[in-house]
Amino acid sequence: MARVDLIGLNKSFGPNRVVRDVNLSVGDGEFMVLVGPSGCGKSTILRMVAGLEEVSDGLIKIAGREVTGLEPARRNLAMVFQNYALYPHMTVYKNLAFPLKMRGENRDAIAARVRETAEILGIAEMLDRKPKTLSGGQMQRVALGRAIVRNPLVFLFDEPLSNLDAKMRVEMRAEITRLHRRLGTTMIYVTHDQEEAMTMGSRIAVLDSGVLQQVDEPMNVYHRPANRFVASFIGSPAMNFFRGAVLNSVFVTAGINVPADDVPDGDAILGVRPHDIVRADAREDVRADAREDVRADVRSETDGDVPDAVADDLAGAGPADQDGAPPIRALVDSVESLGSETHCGCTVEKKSFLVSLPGHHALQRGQKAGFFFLPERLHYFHAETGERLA
Amino acid sequence: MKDALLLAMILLSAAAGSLNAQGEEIELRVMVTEPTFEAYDAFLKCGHDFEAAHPGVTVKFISEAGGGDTLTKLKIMLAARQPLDVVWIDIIDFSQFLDDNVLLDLQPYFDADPTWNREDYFEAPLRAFSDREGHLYGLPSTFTPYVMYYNKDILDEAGIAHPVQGWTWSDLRAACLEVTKDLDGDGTVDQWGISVTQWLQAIAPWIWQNGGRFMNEAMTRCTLDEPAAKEAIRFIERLLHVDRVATSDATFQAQFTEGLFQAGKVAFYGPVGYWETYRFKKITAFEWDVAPLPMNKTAATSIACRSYVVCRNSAHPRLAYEFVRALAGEELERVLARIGNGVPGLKKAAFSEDFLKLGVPPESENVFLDVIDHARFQPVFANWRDIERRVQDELEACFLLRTISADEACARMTAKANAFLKQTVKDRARPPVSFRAAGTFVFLGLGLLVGLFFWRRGPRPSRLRRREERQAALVLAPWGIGFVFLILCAMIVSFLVSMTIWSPIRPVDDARWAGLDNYYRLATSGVFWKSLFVTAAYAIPAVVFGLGVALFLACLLNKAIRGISIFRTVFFIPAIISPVAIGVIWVWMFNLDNPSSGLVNQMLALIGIDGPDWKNSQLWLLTVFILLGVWGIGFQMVVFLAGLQGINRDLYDAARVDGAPGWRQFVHITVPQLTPVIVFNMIIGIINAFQFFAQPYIMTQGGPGSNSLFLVLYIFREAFRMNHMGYASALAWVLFAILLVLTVLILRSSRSWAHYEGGEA
Repeated sequence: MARVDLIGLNKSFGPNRVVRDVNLSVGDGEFMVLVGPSGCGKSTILRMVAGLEEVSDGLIKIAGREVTGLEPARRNLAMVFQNYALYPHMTVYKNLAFPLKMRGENRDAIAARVRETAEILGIAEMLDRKPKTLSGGQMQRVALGRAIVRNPLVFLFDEPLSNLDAKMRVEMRAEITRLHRRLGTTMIYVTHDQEEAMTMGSRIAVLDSGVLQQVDEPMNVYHRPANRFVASFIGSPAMNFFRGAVLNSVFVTAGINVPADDVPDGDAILGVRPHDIVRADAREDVRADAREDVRADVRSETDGDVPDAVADDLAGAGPADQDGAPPIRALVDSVESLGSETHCGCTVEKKSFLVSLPGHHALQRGQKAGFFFLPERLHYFHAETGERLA
Repeated sequence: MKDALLLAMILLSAAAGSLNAQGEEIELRVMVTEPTFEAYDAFLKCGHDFEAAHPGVTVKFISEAGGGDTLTKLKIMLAARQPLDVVWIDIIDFSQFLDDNVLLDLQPYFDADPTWNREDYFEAPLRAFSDREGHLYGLPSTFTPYVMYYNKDILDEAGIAHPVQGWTWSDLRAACLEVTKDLDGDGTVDQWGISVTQWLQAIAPWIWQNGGRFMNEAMTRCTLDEPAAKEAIRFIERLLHVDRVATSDATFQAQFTEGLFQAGKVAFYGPVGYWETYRFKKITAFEWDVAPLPMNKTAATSIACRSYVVCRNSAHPRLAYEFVRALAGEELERVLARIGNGVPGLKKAAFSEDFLKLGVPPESENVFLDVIDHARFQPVFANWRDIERRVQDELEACFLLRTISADEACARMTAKANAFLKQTVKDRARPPVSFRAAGTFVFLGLGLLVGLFFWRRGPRPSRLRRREERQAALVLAPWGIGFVFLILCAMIVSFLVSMTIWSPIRPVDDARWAGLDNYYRLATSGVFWKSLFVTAAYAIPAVVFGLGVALFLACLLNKAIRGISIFRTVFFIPAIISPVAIGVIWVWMFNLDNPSSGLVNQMLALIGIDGPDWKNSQLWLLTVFILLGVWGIGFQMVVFLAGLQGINRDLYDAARVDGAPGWRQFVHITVPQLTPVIVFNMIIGIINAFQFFAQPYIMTQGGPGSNSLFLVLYIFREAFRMNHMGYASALAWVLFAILLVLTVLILRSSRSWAHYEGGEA
């Protein structure tokens, strides 16, 4: 077990700088998720940590020891690859035994350790089979097994679940989380899936274009995104944005007029999540349902654990506070009912936004409807830099 | 079936010649071998003159200046039924061609020709090209009796009279004993009596001079075991091994290399023909001349001769006859005499200044004319080359290797020749092949297979499936038709031929049924086993090292470094160079006949290594070929490279993280991942190695002895030089069986060691 420090890390491929000045400390036993869109440099960072990619500039320390120039083998870490990278010509047993064999351990020790690992992962029956006879989930387990079999200081995961179907992905997500809890080893996990990031990470590090955007606990990233990029990347459906101006703590743009406490005057971008918009017209009717449904929703999204703060927020988010402010009158362009919630595409003064309403709503395309943005849930970003305001 | 055979032969022939239309334009196709460009130009001129005299006729020379293996080419053309009109053949091959019935009897043309006068030509070469009834088949170009060359300076110094007509064996022996000396006193002899030639035609005069003979009058029995013949062989043996006055540097293979006579270190050289004067013109260090061969009980010498003959299948026999007259006419004969090709067959040219060349050595050029009266030609008959080959080995064992005595050699030669003659008689008595029966048998067999296929495929398939099958069959038809006619038919024909005794230049009617005798013969033939040994001893290391080197290079060339494509090209180039060019280059690099002047040995000398005699050691000769094989592994290398690039890079990343250093990645990832490619390359490599042909054909022709007689070379030699098509076909089938078994074994075994991504295990 060990901490991992990335200090001023840079990587260039020719003229392309794919990783820029990344400083990141992963604590001992922490589950750090690197998340970002394709090409943001997250895998490159991971490969640099692994030693598979040369560092253009900067330092990497594992357990306080600098490893920047060391061969992967001498860093004492294990890696799980996107396509598993199982050795296709070896049986599962040999795949698991390989890292131990390379370390020159004796045959009996290897056998014991492989059996133990296989038990943990529930693949003991498959030891004599070759990888291509296994299902995706089984291969994933073997890949995990090959990583944990030799007790490394750090685990590295490179989008390990992206080749699995949705159901298996949820299952393996839980499996990896459980494994982390059981082993308590430092893990660095790369994914482009914000849902994985939110649900698995102790902390998540959001990357864009090789630059670290925000490093924080998942709920902080969700509720206080550091900038417009993080705000748009984390959360599904994505946050709505409106350009406008703040004057005397009120954000104004055509058709929208919402409070902006503590936000300095001037041009700004308003961000509001589709879940943080409620209907004005039927607001009394749906109010109670909304609380329940949203709560249930969040629960399902976070796999059971709803932080109390969030639940309280939801409970307190009454449209009563909206008294006095007029609702936003918008035209409904599209209605998609998912059963547990309804997504409405709306337009107000040529500005489109998405509303996610709990439960089923009998809205019609072409209908006019009134909406309130929950004022405590509004995010303001600098009009040019996209940095969070207040 | 006969027609089918013929059709197959035509399809198989390398190039389909344009058949002459019986129209205005007539093409005379002529094949002559001429080692000098000077003489070749004279032939071309003769052709042009003939064209001028015969409007509408074109003379086309098929051969090129510089010689080459024209006899083989001629045989292949005859076997492929290519049209030929006039060809130039050696006295030794005449009987075979006569026997094979490919020559036109020119006697009627001579008889009807008022300008023909037999007296114009020397009788000996005319007799050599006549059949038993005395019908003349051709006219001589140049010929030569065998004579003795001598170094005047050595004889003068020793006070020995120059040999003249009537000198004897004892004169020769006495002179040899006198001049053989250790001149510089270092304990080894450095001036010798005689450099004695040792091929059969050169040995013959000794036997005749002693009153011996090769064959009985009826040509049914070899008589080399008679006392007169034995005595003659013993005489040579005595000069060589008892008196130690003779050297063995003049073997047949070595006759065109710089010998001791040219170096001025030997007094006599012979018996040998006129061609040496052409070579000895260069000698300036001493004076030399020619003399008749020494006589014993009688005077005798043999002759070498080439004549122009007309092919039986010539479409224009009359014109061909006239062109033969022109070729053997005064003009060309004088030109050839001037160049020094040999003694002109035409007396007028022979007795002219063009031949006698006063003032130019040898002084006694007339010796060649004087000895013609007692010149004989060998008892030649069909298959003479077979006998020659068998006898030659025994002579070498006695004279060169000293493993047997002269008497033993004579006994063995006689036994071998008689066994062969007996075999020939037996083969002649074999029943002719009923191609109808064989064909019926084959087609019944094929029908049975087809029937079996339909029977085994179970119930009638659905309509949709039948339609799909028909479409598949249609799409496969172009390949299928090609396979059936070009490969399957040829295979069936060759299988049938492998059970016959047949010369490919004879009509198929002449094939004799031999059953499995050819297979039995090859199984009991030392040459076959030697050939198989040579092939395997080449193939195994060449394939193993070849795979290793190819894989090693592919790994090196799999790196992403600057200019990698240039390296890849450089290493691939050997694979695209013509095998013939490669052969020539390697001969030059190793200089097999004179290794110390070869590039390789000179380089080795630079670093202080005394390079080996590449040619005369079985081990080193095979080493040369193995190196050559390994050098040309570009194709395998590219296949490996493609295989390497197909390996998932993540596996290497995973292995690195798992702690495998480079070589263990190679062992645990690269090699297992490449196993299917290794299997492929191994099979292709073994097939290629067993089919090794062009390079040894160019470099060594299978020699020395059979030390580089690779199987395909052996097949080629039997089929197209020896005309043993049946035996060669049997060899080809054995080779096929060997390759089939090896391939199946590799494929079978690979299931347990090769990793197939898509396969089951």
